Amino acid sequence: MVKIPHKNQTDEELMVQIMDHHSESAIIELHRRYSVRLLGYFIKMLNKDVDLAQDFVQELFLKILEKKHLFDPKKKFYTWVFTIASNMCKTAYRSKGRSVTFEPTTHDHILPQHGENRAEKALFQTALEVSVAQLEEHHKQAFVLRYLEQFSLNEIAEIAEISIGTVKSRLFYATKKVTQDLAAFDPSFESTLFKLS
Amino acid sequence: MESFENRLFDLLENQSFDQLNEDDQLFVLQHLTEKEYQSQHLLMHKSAEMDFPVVAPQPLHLPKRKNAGLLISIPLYQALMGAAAIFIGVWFIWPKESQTNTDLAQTKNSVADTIYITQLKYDTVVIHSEKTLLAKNEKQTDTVYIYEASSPSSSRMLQPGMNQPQVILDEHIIKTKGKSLKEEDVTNLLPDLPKMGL
Repeated sequence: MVKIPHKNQTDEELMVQIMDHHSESAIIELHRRYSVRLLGYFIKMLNKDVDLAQDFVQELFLKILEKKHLFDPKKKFYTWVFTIASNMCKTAYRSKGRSVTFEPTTHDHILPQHGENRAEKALFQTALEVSVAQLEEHHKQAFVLRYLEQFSLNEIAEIAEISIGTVKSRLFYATKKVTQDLAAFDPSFESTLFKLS
Repeated sequence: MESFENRLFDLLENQSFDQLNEDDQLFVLQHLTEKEYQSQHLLMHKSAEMDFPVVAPQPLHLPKRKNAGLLISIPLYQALMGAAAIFIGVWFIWPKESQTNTDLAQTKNSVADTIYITQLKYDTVVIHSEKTLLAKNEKQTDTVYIYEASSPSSSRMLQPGMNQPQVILDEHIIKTKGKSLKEEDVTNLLPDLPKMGL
């Protein structure tokens, strides 16, 4: 019997090995595949708290081992793992409330001689981060998953365990709120902040 | 019925305000200004172009499992098969109660009971007796003639019945006589019979 390397196995096949044999090598392979993206998601959802986001990634993979029996091999692994991640953020948001410290991304490495566009892009990004951090948790989740993590509407519905209509409604109000905040930041942001070429 | 938020969202994600038809523009203007629609439309498309810094994740630290060799998780069907195999093995090896009790009972009975063996033996026993035993005697019958004495009948005597045989004593009858009881050998065997003087 030829043993298939973990690198050539799908996410679902690796989860089956974890479920049947508690395979540590399989969970390490899944960590290699998804830890970067999950860390980026946690950083955006936890208002740029990198240390907390690192702890959440570690805790998430321990939860995968703990709740491996809840995984349905017929479904996609990445939607299941982002569901766990979203629930962890929801719990953190409810426990800490809306008074979450926000540390906007520093763009010191972007020098003025690199062009106005890059500076304006950095400025726009800072303004966007501030605005997204102040969104309601369910609006923030929909906005980050759609426009920062590029998930489809169906995947967001599966991750958040809501209907597609609810996803569209949340995205509408989230984008409406952010545009209002950007307008408050710079009334002419349409012409200045959106020079992203 | 589709909510106005969903319809607006579909328009915002796919078309700029200038690309909308007249009906859609009228619908949008019922809820948003043209500037607001355009801002939301640009935000949806430009947000994806944001460059967020990539942070390297820390290595995964898995908890150490104690006695991992003994606590390896196995599928449920393997655990059930192992339990069934152990149960069958114990069932075959374990001594059965009824057989044990029977053996003990048999052992107990064989020690306590005494067996008597009776055999019939046939043999001739000669017994010498001092007393004379009673011999079997055959019945002898003899004819007895009775003569009637010739004497006047008295009134007190019963008149002979009619047609009664007349017994005549003659010499033949007198001469013929049997053995007296005294001469009989049988009297020797009779135990203590008083002599009748016969």
